[in-house]
Amino acid sequence: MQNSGFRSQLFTDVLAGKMPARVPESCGVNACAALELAGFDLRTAQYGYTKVLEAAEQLNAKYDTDTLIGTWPAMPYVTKAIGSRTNVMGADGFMQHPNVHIMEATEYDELIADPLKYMWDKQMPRAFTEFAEPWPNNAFALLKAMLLEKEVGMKMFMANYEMSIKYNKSTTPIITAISRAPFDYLADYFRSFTGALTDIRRYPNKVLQAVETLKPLMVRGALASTAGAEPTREGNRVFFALHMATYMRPKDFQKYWWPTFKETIWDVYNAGFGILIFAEENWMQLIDCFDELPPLCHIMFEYGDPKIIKEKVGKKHIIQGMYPVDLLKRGSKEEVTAKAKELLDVMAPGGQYIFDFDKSILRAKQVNWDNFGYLVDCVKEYGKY
Amino acid sequence: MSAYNDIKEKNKIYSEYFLLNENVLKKYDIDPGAEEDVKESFGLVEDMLLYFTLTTLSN
Repeated sequence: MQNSGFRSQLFTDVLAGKMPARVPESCGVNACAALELAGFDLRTAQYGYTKVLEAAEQLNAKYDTDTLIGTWPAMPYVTKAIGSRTNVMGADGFMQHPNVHIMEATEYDELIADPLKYMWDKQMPRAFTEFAEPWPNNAFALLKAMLLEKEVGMKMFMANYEMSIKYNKSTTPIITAISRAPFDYLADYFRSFTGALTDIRRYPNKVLQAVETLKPLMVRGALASTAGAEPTREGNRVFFALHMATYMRPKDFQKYWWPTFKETIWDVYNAGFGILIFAEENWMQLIDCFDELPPLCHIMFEYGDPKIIKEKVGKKHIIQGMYPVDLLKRGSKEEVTAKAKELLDVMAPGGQYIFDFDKSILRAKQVNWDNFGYLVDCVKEYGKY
Repeated sequence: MSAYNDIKEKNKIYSEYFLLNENVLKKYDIDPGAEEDVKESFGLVEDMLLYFTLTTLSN
Protein backbone atom coordinates (compact mmCIF):
# COMPACT_ATOMS: atom_id res chain seq x y z
CA MET A 1 0.00 0.00 0.00
CA GLN A 2 1.29 3.46 -0.87
CA ASN A 3 1.80 5.61 2.21
CA SER A 4 0.37 8.98 3.11
CA GLY A 5 3.56 10.82 2.22
CA PHE A 6 3.63 9.34 -1.28
CA ARG A 7 -0.02 10.21 -1.93
CA SER A 8 0.38 13.70 -0.49
CA GLN A 9 3.29 14.26 -2.85
CA LEU A 10 1.13 13.27 -5.85
CA PHE A 11 -1.25 16.14 -5.08
CA THR A 12 1.51 18.55 -4.13
CA ASP A 13 3.21 17.90 -7.46
CA VAL A 14 0.06 18.27 -9.54
CA LEU A 15 -1.01 21.47 -7.80
CA ALA A 16 2.47 22.93 -8.38
CA GLY A 17 2.33 22.05 -12.07
CA LYS A 18 4.93 19.28 -11.74
CA MET A 19 4.63 15.77 -13.14
CA PRO A 20 3.61 13.33 -10.36
CA ALA A 21 4.60 9.65 -10.17
CA ARG A 22 1.06 8.77 -11.18
CA VAL A 23 -2.36 10.38 -11.59
CA PRO A 24 -3.84 11.03 -8.15
CA GLU A 25 -7.52 10.29 -7.66
CA SER A 26 -9.92 12.27 -5.52
CA CYS A 27 -13.24 10.47 -6.02
CA GLY A 28 -15.75 12.47 -3.99
CA VAL A 29 -17.95 10.64 -1.47
CA ASN A 30 -20.35 12.60 0.73
CA ALA A 31 -20.62 11.90 4.46
CA CYS A 32 -24.28 10.92 3.93
CA ALA A 33 -23.25 8.01 1.71
CA ALA A 34 -20.83 6.81 4.38
CA LEU A 35 -23.45 7.12 7.13
CA GLU A 36 -26.00 5.15 5.11
CA LEU A 37 -23.45 2.44 4.29
CA ALA A 38 -22.71 2.12 8.01
CA GLY A 39 -26.42 1.73 8.74
CA PHE A 40 -27.03 5.10 10.41
CA ASP A 41 -30.15 7.24 10.02
CA LEU A 42 -29.36 10.57 8.31
CA ARG A 43 -32.16 12.28 10.24
CA THR A 44 -30.25 11.87 13.50
CA ALA A 45 -26.63 10.88 12.88
CA GLN A 46 -25.48 14.21 11.41
CA TYR A 47 -26.08 16.22 14.60
CA GLY A 48 -22.80 15.16 16.15
CA TYR A 49 -19.43 13.86 15.00
CA THR A 50 -19.12 10.39 16.59
CA LYS A 51 -21.26 8.52 14.05
CA VAL A 52 -19.84 10.52 11.14
CA LEU A 53 -16.32 9.53 12.15
CA GLU A 54 -17.32 5.92 12.78
CA ALA A 55 -18.89 5.70 9.31
CA ALA A 56 -15.91 7.40 7.67
CA GLU A 57 -13.54 5.03 9.46
CA GLN A 58 -15.35 1.97 8.06
CA LEU A 59 -15.32 3.38 4.52
CA ASN A 60 -11.68 4.46 4.53
CA ALA A 61 -10.50 1.18 6.00
CA LYS A 62 -12.19 -0.66 3.15
CA TYR A 63 -11.26 1.37 0.05
CA ASP A 64 -7.70 2.24 -0.93
CA THR A 65 -8.41 5.80 -2.03
CA ASP A 66 -5.83 8.57 -2.25
CA THR A 67 -7.93 10.96 -0.17
CA LEU A 68 -10.14 10.65 2.88
CA ILE A 69 -13.71 9.97 1.79
CA GLY A 70 -17.16 10.15 3.34
CA THR A 71 -16.40 12.73 5.98
CA TRP A 72 -17.49 16.33 6.74
CA PRO A 73 -21.28 16.38 7.24
CA ALA A 74 -23.42 19.36 6.26
CA MET A 75 -23.45 20.76 9.82
CA PRO A 76 -27.21 20.63 10.50
CA TYR A 77 -26.41 21.53 14.11
CA VAL A 78 -25.33 24.97 12.88
CA THR A 79 -28.28 25.46 10.55
CA LYS A 80 -30.69 24.46 13.34
CA ALA A 81 -29.06 26.83 15.82
CA ILE A 82 -29.69 29.77 13.49
CA GLY A 83 -33.05 28.61 12.05
CA SER A 84 -31.81 28.48 8.47
CA ARG A 85 -34.35 28.72 5.65
CA THR A 86 -31.67 28.33 2.97
CA ASN A 87 -30.22 25.04 4.22
CA VAL A 88 -32.83 22.62 5.56
CA MET A 89 -32.99 18.91 6.28
CA GLY A 90 -35.27 16.94 3.96
CA ALA A 91 -37.67 14.24 5.17
CA ASP A 92 -34.99 11.57 4.65
CA GLY A 93 -32.30 13.55 6.47
CA PHE A 94 -30.40 14.82 3.42
CA MET A 95 -29.69 18.56 3.50
CA GLN A 96 -31.43 20.60 0.79
CA HIS A 97 -31.03 24.15 -0.57
CA PRO A 98 -34.51 25.50 -1.34
CA ASN A 99 -34.76 28.25 -3.97
CA VAL A 100 -35.79 31.04 -1.58
CA HIS A 101 -35.73 34.74 -2.27
CA ILE A 102 -34.58 36.81 0.66
CA MET A 103 -34.24 40.30 -0.83
CA GLU A 104 -36.91 42.30 -2.64
CA ALA A 105 -36.06 43.97 -5.95
CA THR A 106 -36.92 47.32 -4.37
CA GLU A 107 -34.04 46.89 -1.90
CA TYR A 108 -31.12 47.02 -4.35
CA ASP A 109 -30.18 50.55 -3.27
CA GLU A 110 -29.91 49.49 0.38
CA LEU A 111 -27.68 46.56 -0.55
CA ILE A 112 -25.47 48.75 -2.73
CA ALA A 113 -25.14 51.53 -0.10
CA ASP A 114 -23.82 49.24 2.69
CA PRO A 115 -23.97 45.54 1.85
CA LEU A 116 -22.93 44.31 5.30
CA LYS A 117 -25.44 46.54 7.05
CA TYR A 118 -28.15 45.38 4.66
CA MET A 119 -27.17 41.74 5.27
CA TRP A 120 -27.33 41.99 9.05
CA ASP A 121 -30.40 44.25 9.14
CA LYS A 122 -32.52 42.53 6.49
CA GLN A 123 -31.05 39.44 4.86
CA MET A 124 -29.87 37.54 7.95
CA PRO A 125 -33.08 37.84 10.02
CA ARG A 126 -35.10 36.74 6.98
CA ALA A 127 -32.84 33.85 6.05
CA PHE A 128 -32.22 32.68 9.64
CA THR A 129 -35.25 32.87 11.88
CA GLU A 130 -33.26 32.76 15.16
CA PHE A 131 -31.61 36.07 14.26
CA ALA A 132 -35.05 37.70 14.15
CA GLU A 133 -35.61 36.82 17.81
CA PRO A 134 -35.26 39.62 20.40
CA TRP A 135 -32.09 40.16 22.42
CA PRO A 136 -30.40 38.12 23.83
CA ASN A 137 -31.76 35.08 21.95
CA ASN A 138 -30.46 36.39 18.60
CA ALA A 139 -27.00 37.00 20.08
CA PHE A 140 -26.94 33.54 21.64
CA ALA A 141 -27.96 32.01 18.31
CA LEU A 142 -25.01 33.67 16.60
CA LEU A 143 -22.64 32.69 19.38
CA LYS A 144 -23.84 29.08 19.38
CA ALA A 145 -23.43 28.83 15.61
CA MET A 146 -19.89 30.22 15.72
CA LEU A 147 -18.88 27.96 18.61
CA LEU A 148 -20.53 24.89 17.10
CA GLU A 149 -18.69 25.41 13.86
CA LYS A 150 -15.40 26.07 15.60
CA GLU A 151 -15.49 23.39 18.29
CA VAL A 152 -17.13 20.55 16.35
CA GLY A 153 -15.17 21.52 13.25
CA MET A 154 -11.88 21.32 15.15
CA LYS A 155 -12.73 17.86 16.52
CA MET A 156 -13.58 16.73 12.98
CA PHE A 157 -10.42 18.27 11.57
CA MET A 158 -8.14 16.58 14.09
CA ALA A 159 -9.90 13.21 13.74
CA ASN A 160 -9.77 13.44 9.95
CA TYR A 161 -6.07 14.17 10.02
CA GLU A 162 -5.41 11.16 12.26
CA MET A 163 -7.58 8.99 10.01
CA SER A 164 -5.67 10.19 6.95
CA ILE A 165 -2.38 9.06 8.49
CA LYS A 166 -3.88 5.79 9.78
CA TYR A 167 -5.30 4.81 6.39
CA ASN A 168 -2.50 6.21 4.21
CA LYS A 169 -4.44 9.06 2.64
CA SER A 170 -3.09 12.31 1.27
CA THR A 171 -2.90 15.20 3.73
CA THR A 172 -2.20 17.84 1.07
CA PRO A 173 -4.81 20.58 1.61
CA ILE A 174 -7.16 21.03 -1.34
CA ILE A 175 -9.71 23.46 0.15
CA THR A 176 -8.92 25.78 3.04
CA ALA A 177 -11.49 28.52 2.44
CA ILE A 178 -14.64 29.28 0.47
CA SER A 179 -15.67 32.30 -1.53
CA ARG A 180 -18.10 32.89 -4.39
CA ALA A 181 -18.62 34.57 -7.71
CA PRO A 182 -20.37 37.88 -6.92
CA PHE A 183 -23.33 37.18 -9.24
CA ASP A 184 -23.79 33.72 -7.73
CA TYR A 185 -23.81 35.25 -4.26
CA LEU A 186 -26.46 37.76 -5.35
CA ALA A 187 -28.61 34.99 -6.82
CA ASP A 188 -28.16 32.29 -4.20
CA TYR A 189 -28.40 34.38 -1.02
CA PHE A 190 -30.41 37.47 -1.96
CA ARG A 191 -32.61 37.38 -5.07
CA SER A 192 -32.91 33.62 -5.84
CA PHE A 193 -32.10 31.79 -9.06
CA THR A 194 -35.16 33.07 -10.93
CA GLY A 195 -35.16 36.52 -9.34
CA ALA A 196 -31.59 37.30 -10.37
CA LEU A 197 -32.21 36.27 -13.98
CA THR A 198 -35.40 38.37 -14.13
CA ASP A 199 -33.58 41.38 -12.64
CA ILE A 200 -31.10 41.35 -15.52
CA ARG A 201 -33.98 42.39 -17.81
CA ARG A 202 -35.83 44.68 -15.41
CA TYR A 203 -33.04 46.35 -13.44
CA PRO A 204 -29.79 45.82 -15.40
CA ASN A 205 -27.92 48.75 -13.87
CA LYS A 206 -28.87 47.77 -10.32
CA VAL A 207 -27.63 44.23 -10.92
CA LEU A 208 -24.32 45.53 -12.24
CA GLN A 209 -23.90 47.87 -9.26
CA ALA A 210 -24.82 45.07 -6.86
CA VAL A 211 -22.24 42.60 -8.18
CA GLU A 212 -19.58 45.31 -8.17
CA THR A 213 -20.51 46.10 -4.55
CA LEU A 214 -20.35 42.44 -3.55
CA LYS A 215 -17.01 41.78 -5.24
CA PRO A 216 -14.82 43.28 -2.43
CA LEU A 217 -16.73 41.15 0.09
CA MET A 218 -15.96 38.01 -1.89
CA VAL A 219 -12.26 38.93 -1.89
CA ARG A 220 -12.15 39.97 1.76
CA GLY A 221 -13.95 36.81 2.82
CA ALA A 222 -11.22 34.74 1.17
CA LEU A 223 -8.43 36.85 2.66
CA ALA A 224 -9.95 36.61 6.15
CA SER A 225 -9.64 32.82 6.08
CA THR A 226 -5.99 32.97 7.12
CA ALA A 227 -6.83 35.09 10.19
CA GLY A 228 -4.22 37.64 9.21
CA ALA A 229 -1.44 35.13 8.46
CA GLU A 230 0.44 35.23 5.18
CA PRO A 231 -1.11 32.79 2.69
CA THR A 232 0.72 30.36 0.44
CA ARG A 233 -0.60 28.90 -2.80
CA GLU A 234 0.13 25.37 -1.52
CA GLY A 235 -1.37 25.76 1.93
CA ASN A 236 -4.24 28.20 1.36
CA ARG A 237 -6.61 27.26 -1.43
CA VAL A 238 -9.89 29.12 -1.91
CA PHE A 239 -12.85 27.23 -3.36
CA PHE A 240 -15.38 28.77 -5.75
CA ALA A 241 -18.42 26.64 -6.74
CA LEU A 242 -19.79 28.26 -9.90
CA HIS A 243 -23.55 28.13 -10.09
CA MET A 244 -25.41 30.56 -12.35
CA ALA A 245 -23.09 31.05 -15.33
CA THR A 246 -24.21 28.16 -17.51
CA TYR A 247 -27.87 29.08 -17.06
CA MET A 248 -27.33 32.56 -18.55
CA ARG A 249 -27.24 33.73 -22.15
CA PRO A 250 -23.59 34.14 -23.21
CA LYS A 251 -23.95 37.91 -23.66
CA ASP A 252 -25.48 38.21 -20.17
CA PHE A 253 -22.69 36.02 -18.80
CA GLN A 254 -20.08 38.33 -20.34
CA LYS A 255 -21.72 41.45 -18.98
CA TYR A 256 -23.10 40.48 -15.57
CA TRP A 257 -21.31 37.33 -14.38
CA TRP A 258 -17.77 37.10 -15.71
CA PRO A 259 -16.08 40.50 -15.06
CA THR A 260 -16.51 40.59 -11.27
CA PHE A 261 -15.71 36.88 -10.96
CA LYS A 262 -12.51 37.35 -12.94
CA GLU A 263 -11.52 40.35 -10.76
CA THR A 264 -12.26 38.35 -7.61
CA ILE A 265 -10.08 35.45 -8.75
CA TRP A 266 -7.17 37.68 -9.76
CA ASP A 267 -7.29 39.58 -6.45
CA VAL A 268 -7.39 36.40 -4.37
CA TYR A 269 -4.58 34.91 -6.47
CA ASN A 270 -2.45 38.06 -6.27
CA ALA A 271 -2.91 38.09 -2.49
CA GLY A 272 -1.05 34.76 -2.47
CA PHE A 273 -3.76 32.09 -2.48
CA GLY A 274 -4.28 29.02 -4.63
CA ILE A 275 -7.56 28.78 -6.55
CA LEU A 276 -9.98 25.83 -6.73
CA ILE A 277 -13.05 26.10 -8.97
CA PHE A 278 -15.99 23.73 -9.44
CA ALA A 279 -17.39 24.46 -12.92
CA GLU A 280 -20.91 23.19 -12.37
CA GLU A 281 -22.86 21.84 -15.36
CA ASN A 282 -21.52 22.14 -18.92
CA TRP A 283 -19.10 25.00 -19.68
CA MET A 284 -18.27 24.08 -23.27
CA GLN A 285 -19.66 27.26 -24.86
CA LEU A 286 -17.82 29.38 -22.25
CA ILE A 287 -14.66 27.30 -22.12
CA ASP A 288 -12.30 29.96 -23.54
CA CYS A 289 -12.91 32.29 -20.61
CA PHE A 290 -10.73 30.16 -18.30
CA ASP A 291 -7.73 31.30 -20.30
CA GLU A 292 -8.21 34.77 -18.75
CA LEU A 293 -7.59 33.43 -15.24
CA PRO A 294 -4.18 33.19 -13.50
CA PRO A 295 -2.13 30.04 -14.15
CA LEU A 296 -2.58 26.74 -12.34
CA CYS A 297 -6.14 27.28 -11.22
CA HIS A 298 -7.44 23.89 -10.14
CA ILE A 299 -10.72 23.48 -12.05
CA MET A 300 -13.18 20.66 -11.42
CA PHE A 301 -15.38 19.99 -14.44
CA GLU A 302 -18.71 18.23 -14.33
CA TYR A 303 -19.65 17.69 -17.98
CA GLY A 304 -18.18 18.48 -21.40
CA ASP A 305 -15.83 17.10 -24.02
CA PRO A 306 -12.67 15.89 -22.20
CA LYS A 307 -10.51 16.28 -25.32
CA ILE A 308 -11.49 19.91 -25.87
CA ILE A 309 -11.19 20.71 -22.15
CA LYS A 310 -7.73 19.12 -22.03
CA GLU A 311 -6.65 21.05 -25.13
CA LYS A 312 -8.08 24.44 -24.18
CA VAL A 313 -7.80 24.43 -20.38
CA GLY A 314 -5.39 21.65 -19.41
CA LYS A 315 -2.20 23.32 -20.54
CA LYS A 316 -2.60 26.37 -18.34
CA HIS A 317 -4.65 24.94 -15.48
CA ILE A 318 -5.14 21.74 -13.45
CA ILE A 319 -8.19 19.70 -14.41
CA GLN A 320 -10.23 17.34 -12.26
CA GLY A 321 -13.45 15.39 -12.79
CA MET A 322 -15.70 14.20 -15.62
CA TYR A 323 -15.79 10.47 -14.91
CA PRO A 324 -19.53 9.57 -15.15
CA VAL A 325 -20.41 8.43 -11.62
CA ASP A 326 -23.66 6.91 -12.92
CA LEU A 327 -21.61 4.18 -14.59
CA LEU A 328 -20.79 2.77 -11.15
CA LYS A 329 -24.45 1.89 -10.74
CA ARG A 330 -25.25 0.37 -14.10
CA GLY A 331 -21.86 -0.74 -15.50
CA SER A 332 -19.93 -4.02 -15.22
CA LYS A 333 -16.40 -4.11 -13.77
CA GLU A 334 -15.05 -4.16 -17.33
CA GLU A 335 -17.14 -1.19 -18.41
CA VAL A 336 -16.19 0.82 -15.31
CA THR A 337 -12.46 0.27 -15.75
CA ALA A 338 -12.55 0.69 -19.54
CA LYS A 339 -14.17 4.10 -19.14
CA ALA A 340 -11.52 5.09 -16.59
CA LYS A 341 -8.75 4.10 -19.00
CA GLU A 342 -10.45 5.98 -21.84
CA LEU A 343 -10.56 9.16 -19.72
CA LEU A 344 -7.00 8.70 -18.47
CA ASP A 345 -5.75 8.30 -22.04
CA VAL A 346 -7.08 11.76 -22.82
CA MET A 347 -6.45 13.62 -19.58
CA ALA A 348 -3.27 12.14 -18.06
CA PRO A 349 -0.64 13.04 -20.71
CA GLY A 350 1.38 16.05 -19.61
CA GLY A 351 0.16 15.87 -16.01
CA GLN A 352 -1.95 18.60 -14.36
CA TYR A 353 -4.82 16.17 -13.93
CA ILE A 354 -6.62 14.66 -10.92
CA PHE A 355 -9.02 11.78 -11.50
CA ASP A 356 -12.53 12.33 -10.09
CA PHE A 357 -16.21 11.82 -10.81
CA ASP A 358 -18.39 14.33 -12.61
CA LYS A 359 -20.27 14.68 -9.33
CA SER A 360 -19.74 13.22 -5.88
CA ILE A 361 -21.45 10.11 -4.57
CA LEU A 362 -24.11 11.61 -2.32
CA ARG A 363 -26.08 8.53 -1.27
CA ALA A 364 -25.12 4.91 -0.59
CA LYS A 365 -27.56 3.42 -3.10
CA GLN A 366 -26.27 5.66 -5.88
CA VAL A 367 -23.49 3.23 -6.86
CA ASN A 368 -22.39 -0.39 -6.80
CA TRP A 369 -19.58 -0.21 -4.21
CA ASP A 370 -17.70 -3.14 -5.69
CA ASN A 371 -17.33 -1.00 -8.80
CA PHE A 372 -16.02 1.86 -6.66
CA GLY A 373 -13.22 -0.39 -5.42
CA TYR A 374 -12.40 -1.62 -8.94
CA LEU A 375 -12.27 1.96 -10.16
CA VAL A 376 -9.82 3.35 -7.58
CA ASP A 377 -7.56 0.33 -8.00
CA CYS A 378 -7.64 0.74 -11.78
CA VAL A 379 -6.68 4.42 -11.62
CA LYS A 380 -3.71 3.67 -9.37
CA GLU A 381 -2.37 1.08 -11.78
CA TYR A 382 -3.26 2.56 -15.19
CA GLY A 383 -2.49 6.13 -14.10
CA LYS A 384 1.23 5.53 -13.60
CA TYR A 385 3.52 7.83 -15.59
CA MET B 1 2.70 40.46 3.37
CA SER B 2 2.65 43.48 1.06
CA ALA B 3 0.63 41.82 -1.72
CA TYR B 4 -1.88 40.48 0.81
CA ASN B 5 -2.22 43.89 2.46
CA ASP B 6 -2.38 45.69 -0.88
CA ILE B 7 -5.30 43.50 -1.99
CA LYS B 8 -6.97 43.98 1.37
CA GLU B 9 -6.63 47.75 1.00
CA LYS B 10 -7.89 47.62 -2.59
CA ASN B 11 -11.00 45.78 -1.37
CA LYS B 12 -11.59 47.97 1.68
CA ILE B 13 -15.16 47.70 2.96
CA TYR B 14 -16.96 50.67 4.46
CA SER B 15 -19.72 49.56 6.78
CA GLU B 16 -21.50 50.78 9.85
CA TYR B 17 -21.06 47.33 11.40
CA PHE B 18 -17.62 46.22 10.25
CA LEU B 19 -15.35 49.00 11.37
CA LEU B 20 -12.11 50.33 9.94
CA ASN B 21 -9.40 50.73 12.56
CA GLU B 22 -9.76 54.49 12.80
CA ASN B 23 -13.49 54.08 13.47
CA VAL B 24 -12.82 51.49 16.18
CA LEU B 25 -10.72 54.04 18.06
CA LYS B 26 -13.47 56.61 17.79
CA LYS B 27 -16.41 54.34 18.61
CA TYR B 28 -14.84 52.84 21.72
CA ASP B 29 -13.01 56.02 22.78
CA ILE B 30 -9.57 54.40 22.68
CA ASP B 31 -6.34 56.40 22.79
CA PRO B 32 -5.09 56.94 19.19
CA GLY B 33 -1.71 55.61 20.28
CA ALA B 34 -3.27 52.15 20.45
CA GLU B 35 -3.97 52.02 16.72
CA GLU B 36 -1.44 49.26 15.95
CA ASP B 37 -2.70 47.09 18.80
CA VAL B 38 -6.32 47.71 17.79
CA LYS B 39 -5.39 46.59 14.30
CA GLU B 40 -4.12 43.29 15.73
CA SER B 41 -7.16 42.58 17.90
CA PHE B 42 -10.25 44.26 16.44
CA GLY B 43 -8.93 43.90 12.89
CA LEU B 44 -8.60 40.16 13.38
CA VAL B 45 -12.02 39.52 14.90
CA GLU B 46 -13.83 41.77 12.43
CA ASP B 47 -12.16 39.76 9.65
CA MET B 48 -13.25 36.52 11.29
CA LEU B 49 -16.80 37.80 11.69
CA LEU B 50 -16.74 38.77 8.02
CA TYR B 51 -15.53 35.29 7.10
CA PHE B 52 -18.26 33.70 9.22
CA THR B 53 -20.87 35.94 7.58
CA LEU B 54 -19.75 35.07 4.08
CA THR B 55 -19.14 31.35 4.56
CA THR B 56 -20.99 29.55 7.35
CA LEU B 57 -24.00 31.85 7.11
CA SER B 58 -23.97 31.63 3.33
CA ASN B 59 -23.54 27.89 3.07
